[in-house]
Amino acid sequence: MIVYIVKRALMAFVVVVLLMVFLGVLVHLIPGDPVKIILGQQASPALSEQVRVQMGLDKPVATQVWLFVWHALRGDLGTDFITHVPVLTLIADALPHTVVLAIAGLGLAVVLGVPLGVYAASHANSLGDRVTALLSVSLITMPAYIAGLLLLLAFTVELPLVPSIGTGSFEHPLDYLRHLLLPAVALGSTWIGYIARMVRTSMIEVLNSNYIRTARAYGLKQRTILYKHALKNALIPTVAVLGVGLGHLMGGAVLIENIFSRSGLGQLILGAIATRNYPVIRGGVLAIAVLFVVTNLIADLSYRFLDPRIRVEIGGSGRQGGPG
Amino acid sequence: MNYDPQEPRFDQVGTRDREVDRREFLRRAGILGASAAASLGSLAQPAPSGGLGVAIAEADSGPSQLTIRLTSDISNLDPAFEPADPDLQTMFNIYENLVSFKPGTFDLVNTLANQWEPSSDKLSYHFKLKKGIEFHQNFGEVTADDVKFSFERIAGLTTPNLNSPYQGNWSALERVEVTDKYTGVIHLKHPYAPLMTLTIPGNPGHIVSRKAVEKLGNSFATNPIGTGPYEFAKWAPQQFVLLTKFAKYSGASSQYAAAPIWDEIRMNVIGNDQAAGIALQSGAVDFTQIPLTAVKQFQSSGLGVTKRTQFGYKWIGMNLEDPLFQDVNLRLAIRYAIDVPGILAAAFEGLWPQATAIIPPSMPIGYWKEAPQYEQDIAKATSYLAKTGLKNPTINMTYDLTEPGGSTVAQVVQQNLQSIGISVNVQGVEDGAFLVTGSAAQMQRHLFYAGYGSQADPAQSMQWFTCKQLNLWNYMYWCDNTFTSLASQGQTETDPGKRQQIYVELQEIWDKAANAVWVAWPTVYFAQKMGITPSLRPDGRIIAWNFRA
Repeated sequence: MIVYIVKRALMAFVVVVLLMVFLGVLVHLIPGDPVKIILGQQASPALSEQVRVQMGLDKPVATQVWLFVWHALRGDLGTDFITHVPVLTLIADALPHTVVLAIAGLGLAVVLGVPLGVYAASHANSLGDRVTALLSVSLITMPAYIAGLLLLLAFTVELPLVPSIGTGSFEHPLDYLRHLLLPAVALGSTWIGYIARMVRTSMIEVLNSNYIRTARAYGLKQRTILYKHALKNALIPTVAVLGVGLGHLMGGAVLIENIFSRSGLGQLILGAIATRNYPVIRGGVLAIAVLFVVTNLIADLSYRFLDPRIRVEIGGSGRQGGPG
Repeated sequence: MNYDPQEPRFDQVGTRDREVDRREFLRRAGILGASAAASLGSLAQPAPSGGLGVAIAEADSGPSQLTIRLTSDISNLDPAFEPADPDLQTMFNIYENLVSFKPGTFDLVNTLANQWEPSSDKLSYHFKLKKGIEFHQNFGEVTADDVKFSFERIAGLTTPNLNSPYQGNWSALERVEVTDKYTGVIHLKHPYAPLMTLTIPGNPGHIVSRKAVEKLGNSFATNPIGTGPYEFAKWAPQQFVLLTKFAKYSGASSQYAAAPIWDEIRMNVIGNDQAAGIALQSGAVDFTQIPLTAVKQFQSSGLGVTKRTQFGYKWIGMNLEDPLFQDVNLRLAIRYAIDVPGILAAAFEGLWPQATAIIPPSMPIGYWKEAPQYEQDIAKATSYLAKTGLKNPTINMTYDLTEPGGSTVAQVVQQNLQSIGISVNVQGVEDGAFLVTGSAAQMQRHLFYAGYGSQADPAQSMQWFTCKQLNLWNYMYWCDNTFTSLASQGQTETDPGKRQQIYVELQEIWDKAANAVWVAWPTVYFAQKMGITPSLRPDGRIIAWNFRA
C-alpha cells in the first residue's frame, strides 16, 4: 500500500512539473504586450524597452520558462510586475478563500445532493422522484453566475439576511460564514443536481443487488439498508467525480468571486490575465493545478476505504470483499 | 428471522415506501422548515442601516464611515506609477498638490502652496509652501526638498531613473531649485501649457515624502504617505481599502472646501456592475457607479443619481494602412452610412451624448462648437461607394471585448454598412490582443471601435494621433505632418485663446481626413443613498474626502 501511495505521489509530482513547463509556454502564447498594458498610453518606446528588460521579457521564451520552473521548484514564484509583492504572498492570501469556497460549495452539494439522490432512488418513479428530477435538472442547467445574482437579490435586497459582498475575515468565523453562505450555495447549486442524479442512478443499481434483497429478507430497517449497506457502494462513482468536481468548482469560483466581490485565486488570476502579469498568472494557475492534482490523488486513495476490491488489488490478497 | 410488523415486509418494499401520508408529510415539512429557520437565524442579521430610505445619520454608533465602490483592486499608489483609475481614486484622498482643482470645478486653487507665481515667459514657477503641513505616519513636515524630490523622480532626473510612465508630463522640466526650506522654483526647458492642467494638479504633481519613499522603497506602492485628509490604513487585497481621517491634517484645502466629515472611508472592490447596484440597494455601499442599464431603475427608485460626461471619446476608426481605406470615397461612404443616433440608442440606452469631434464641451479649452454632426444619408453613402468602383466589398471590424457596448456598436455598424452593400465581418478581441500593433495585427483591422480616456487638457486627447504614435496608439495609421506639428505647438503655446484656435484647427484637419466616425463622449452615472451628497470633478473623478451627508 505504501508503495502504491509513493508511486501515485511521484506521478503527481511529474504531472506538476510538466504543467509548469506547459504554463510557462502558454502565457507567452496569449496575444498582447504586457509592458504596453502595464505602462499604458503614457509610456514611450524607450521606457517600454527599459521595463521589458527589468521584467526579464527580453530573454528568449525557453529561458524564461526554464527560469520559472527552476525558481518554482525552489518555492520562488517571482514578484507581481505591478505591485512588486511576491507572488507566493498573493497566492497565500487568496488561495484559502477559494479553497474554502470550493469545499463549502461541494460540501453543500454533497449534504443536499446525496439525501436527495437516496430519496429519489428509494421512491423511484414516484411523484417525489419526479419532483426531485425536475429540481435536479433545474439546478444543473442554471449557471452559477445567474444563481448568484438571484440569490443576491433575494437574500440581500428583498430579504436582507446576509452580506451582499465581501469575504469577511478568518478572525471572525461567524462573520466569515455569513459571507460564505450565499456564494457557496450559488457555486454548489449545479452540483447538488449532479450528485442527486448520480446517487439516484447508482443507488437504484445497488438496491437491485442480491445482497440488498438478502438484507431486506433479514428484516433490516429501510434506513439501515439505504445508508449503511447500499450507499457505501453507491457512492463510489460519486467519489470519483467529486475529485473532478472540486477542480470544476475552483474554476467556477472565478465568477462567484467576481459577483460577490470575494477575495480568491480566481479574481487574482483574472486580474493578472487582463494586465498580462505573467508571474501572477503562472503562479495562480500552478496553485490551482497543484490543488487539482492533490485532490484527485486523495480521491483515488479514498477508493481504498470505500471499495474493498481495490484494497485487495493493491494489497495483492486473493480474498474478494463483500458481505459474507 | 426477526420480523418487525412496523417495518415494510420484503414483498411490500417499494410500494409502501412511496406512500407518504398527510401526517408524515407535515412532520417532515415541519422539521425542514424549523431547521432552515434555525440555520438562517444563526447567520442572519437585521437589514444594515443606511439602506434604502434610511438616512446616514441613523447609522450604527462608532466611527462614521463612507463606503464607496472601487471598480477593481488597487495595485500601485505611487504617483509615479498609478496604473489604473481605482489607484487614482484612492490617491485623491491621500495626496495633495501645490495647486489643485477646486472640487467640482477646474478652477485652480492653492493647496500646499501659499504662493504660486509663474514667470511671464512661463519658463519658471515660483512657489512658497504653507508651513506646518505634516506627512502621514510622522514622516515630518513638507519642505521644498520634498517638492523637488516628488517632481524630479517622475521626470527621470533622479538616480536611479524610476522609468515612470508619467515622465512625459514632466518632459519640460529642467530642474526644481530649492531656495529655502519652504520656497523653490520650478524651471522648465520650454513653455508647457499642460503643466497647469495635467501635471501640477494631477497625479504627477502629488507631493510625496522623500524620507518615506527612501525608507519604504518598493513597498511605498502599497503603503503611500501623503499630506491628504485621509491616510492609508488597511488594504485587504481584492476586498477593500480603508482610509482613516488624518488626525494631524493641516487643513490645506480649508480655503476652498469644508473640513472632511468622515472618520473612515472604505472603498469596497466590486468588479461586477450588477453586483454593485445590488450592493447599493442592500446598503453595502453608499455610492457607486452604476451600469447604463440600471439608470432608469435607480432614478425611479428614489435613490440619488448623478451623471458626469468624461473627457474621453468613443469612435469608429479606419485603418489607412489598408489600400482599401486610402480611397477617401470609401471613408466618406462609411461615414454617411453609419447611424450614430441608432448606435447610441442600441448600445448606450440613449444616455450618452453624440460626439461631433474628439474634444467634448466640458473640456476647458478646445471644444469645436461648429463641428459638423453627420446624419445617416444612405443615398450619399451609396454614391460615394459607387465612386470607389468596389462591388460588394467585405471588410473586417474589430472591437475590444472589454469596451462597454462594443458588441452592439459593431452589430449596428454591420447592419448599416450592409444596407449600402458592404459586408462586415465582426470580431470581438480580448483587450490585450486588441492593443497589439504591428503589421499582422494591423492588417486584420479595417474598421475598429475603440475608446480612449483623457484629462483636463486637449493635448492629452490629441497626442495619440500624431505620426509619432504609429505602431503605438495610432490605430488608424494616420500620419498628417500638419496635424503632428500643430499638436506639438498646442503643448507649448500658453495663451488660452491661441490654444483654442490650434485645437479647433486640429479637429478641422481631422474632420477633412474623414478617417473616423465619432460616436460618443462617455457619460458615467452614479447612484447614492439618500442623504449623501457626492463630490465629483466635472469629468466624473470621485473626490471621496469631500462627500457630505
